[in-house]
Amino acid sequence: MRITESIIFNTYLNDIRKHQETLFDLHKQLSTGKSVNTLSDDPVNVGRILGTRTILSSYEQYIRNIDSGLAYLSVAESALERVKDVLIRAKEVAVVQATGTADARSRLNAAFEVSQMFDELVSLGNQNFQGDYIFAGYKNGTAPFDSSGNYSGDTGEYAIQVEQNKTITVGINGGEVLKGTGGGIDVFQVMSDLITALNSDDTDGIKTAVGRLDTAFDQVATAVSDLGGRVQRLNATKEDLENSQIDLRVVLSGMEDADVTEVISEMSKRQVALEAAMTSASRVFDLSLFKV
Amino acid sequence: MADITTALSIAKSALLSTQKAVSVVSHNIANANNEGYTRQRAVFEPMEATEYGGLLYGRGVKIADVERIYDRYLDVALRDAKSGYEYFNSKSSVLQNIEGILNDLDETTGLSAALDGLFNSFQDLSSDPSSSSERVSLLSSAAVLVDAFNNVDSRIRHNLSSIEEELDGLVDRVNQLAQSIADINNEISFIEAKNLNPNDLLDERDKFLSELAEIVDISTYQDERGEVSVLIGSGVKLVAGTDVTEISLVAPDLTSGTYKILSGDVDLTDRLTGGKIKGLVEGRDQIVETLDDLNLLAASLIKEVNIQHRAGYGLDSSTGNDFFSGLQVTGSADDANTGGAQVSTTAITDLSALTLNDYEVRFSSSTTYTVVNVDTGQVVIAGGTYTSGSAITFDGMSVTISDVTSSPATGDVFSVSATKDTARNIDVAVTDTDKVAAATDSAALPGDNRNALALAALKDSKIINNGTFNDFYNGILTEVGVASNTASLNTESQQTYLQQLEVNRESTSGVSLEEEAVELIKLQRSFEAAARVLTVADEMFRTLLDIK
Repeated sequence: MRITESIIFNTYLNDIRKHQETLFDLHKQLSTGKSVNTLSDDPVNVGRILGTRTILSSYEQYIRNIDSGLAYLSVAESALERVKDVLIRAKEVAVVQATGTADARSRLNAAFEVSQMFDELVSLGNQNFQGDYIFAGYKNGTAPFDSSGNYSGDTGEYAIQVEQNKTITVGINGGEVLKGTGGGIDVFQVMSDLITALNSDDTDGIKTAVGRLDTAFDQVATAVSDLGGRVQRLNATKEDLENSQIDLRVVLSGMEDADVTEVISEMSKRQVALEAAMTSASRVFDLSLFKV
Repeated sequence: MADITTALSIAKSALLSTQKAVSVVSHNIANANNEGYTRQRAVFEPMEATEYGGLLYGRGVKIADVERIYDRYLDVALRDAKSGYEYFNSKSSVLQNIEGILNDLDETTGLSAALDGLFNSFQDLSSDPSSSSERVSLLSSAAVLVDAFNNVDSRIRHNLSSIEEELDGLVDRVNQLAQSIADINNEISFIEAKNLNPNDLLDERDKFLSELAEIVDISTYQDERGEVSVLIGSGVKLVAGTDVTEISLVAPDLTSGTYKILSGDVDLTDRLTGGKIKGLVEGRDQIVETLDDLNLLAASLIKEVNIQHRAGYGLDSSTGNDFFSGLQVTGSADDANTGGAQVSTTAITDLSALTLNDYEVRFSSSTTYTVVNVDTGQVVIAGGTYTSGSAITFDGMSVTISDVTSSPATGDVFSVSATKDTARNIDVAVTDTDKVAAATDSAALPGDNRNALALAALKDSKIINNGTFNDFYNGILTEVGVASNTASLNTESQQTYLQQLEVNRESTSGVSLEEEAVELIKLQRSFEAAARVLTVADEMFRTLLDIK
């Protein structure tokens, strides 16, 4: 074949350009750490990469939802634990005052003590978390219990999304736990009945109150263990999500991350080729009959 | 006669011819870097011999011709390869631009991340529906999504208008080149009539043809006068001898429809098989399709979010509020309509009944119309009776057509769409955070989060083409990626082929400086030899004259 200067020149130019293009692409992979940098790099996987990212972003959100639910539940749980404490103390008072050693005077003192406990229950019932009254149902913008223990909340229990198409109820029905709506016992009524019995030196009334305080305690304790169950479910779901996140990240990395070792070895290979082309070109360009 | 004077004139012919040949060599050397130059060679030919004394004596040498060394087949193949290469290359670069606009592989920006962001904010709202900070952050996520749509839309528009400018320029260039080729045809036929070889003009014409082939695929044939005729789009005349049939671009709308390339009244668009113009037109089709899909995505998002949002209650107990704005019905009269009616008003009558498909109102007479869903082919209203100014209502929208200069003519078409320009028009309608409807029940405020959950659940709902919003968007990206990938692979292989042909052409027709150097030395030697002949002849004369 007849070779002219411009063939030689263009061939070298094309080769050098190709090497440089590849090197640039490899550099890009190294600097971004990704082998897929544009849609056309791997169009088939682009949809999967973005789909996986969307799932990961959802999982992150579900975990955020769960964390906020857990924070809410732990506040509710500790409030109810304190309610249980109050009920135990009230029962202790009632048991002592139900015996024959108690008299009208000691019962008056005890009535005062129990009414303090009553106030404490009201304030526990109005427990606030991040501006929301947690025992008020959906009507959590206003305190659900007034000073005499009347309930103004509703029965709404808010749920959070924890997985695709799966929600877990986080909200607590304050009316059910503390006011006995739906067949339970009204904790506040029990307490105020006890106060009345103590004030009026009513031994039978006090004895009745002891039994009712037990029922009230059980009701709250059941609610607490129900909360514990929810916390467990949320934690288990969170763990599942975190495990899936790790798996998905591995899949994602396999699809989009550059294999650094491979990129670097390919790069040095290309560099050698480029240098060889340049050296060879500079020698060939130097040859000319006109120089003889 | 074969005497000393003959030897002198032979030597003279050799000197003159050699000088001419040197000028051809120097012309080659001078044009060594001129792309498209075809090397020339002086063809030596002995002068006609004379008979003397029963013998034939040569009378020296002359330059019979200065010929171009080229292979016609190669030139044709090279032009075809150029058309092919430029077609894929221009298509590929258009698609690469779109790819750049839609590049969501960067994790934090782009529509995909913004979509995720909006739905995550709905989730955050569901965790704490009474919190104003969650509401504020929801509205800002929505604003980020709106910006993402608007940005993509405006960049795509920008691209579309630069494509239109480029096409305009290319069409003009084709017409200029056609005129130049016609002009050169004229000169060439004039020179060839004198039986001369217009080598450099041929080169120039080949250069124009080659540039033309980059823009449109062409085929050529040459007549006996040396004039070349050029056909484009498999058989439509562009240049015939000295006549030019100009081509023109028909670009009705920037963001919709298709562009046409016309030669007179003939539509060339589908007949073109290569060249930049074809690549740009096809690249544009892909962009328009992508933009249509984005508009559909935006419209669908507005529709579904608004339907759900309207059903809920804000902290201020308000209900029926839109979350997004920007969904609207547009109607327009077809360019080819001959009647004088126009679309006067349009409206959405029932959001949940909208299909987001494109419709056409087709007039079968000036008083009868049919409404057809263009996407499904379904007839929505058959045989409607037209009254100017009264609304035609179907599938959740209404369109009013009114006589402006006259009533609609038979065959008139009005297109109606609820998605056009939505990616540009989408905006957040809610400004007051209290109006974000997180609650399903106005009596359960502020803790009711059920509507927020329902809004968040839209993320996983199969809404468009049996997929989620994200699925649909990822589908758009995959389509663009595949198209761009295919175009760039084709560009690469076409480029390799083109380079090979260029090497072949160069190998045949290119100037080799080494070769010219050798030629130069050879000519120098023969010039010296001829001069020597002259000296010898001169000495012989002197010898004769010295005889006394």
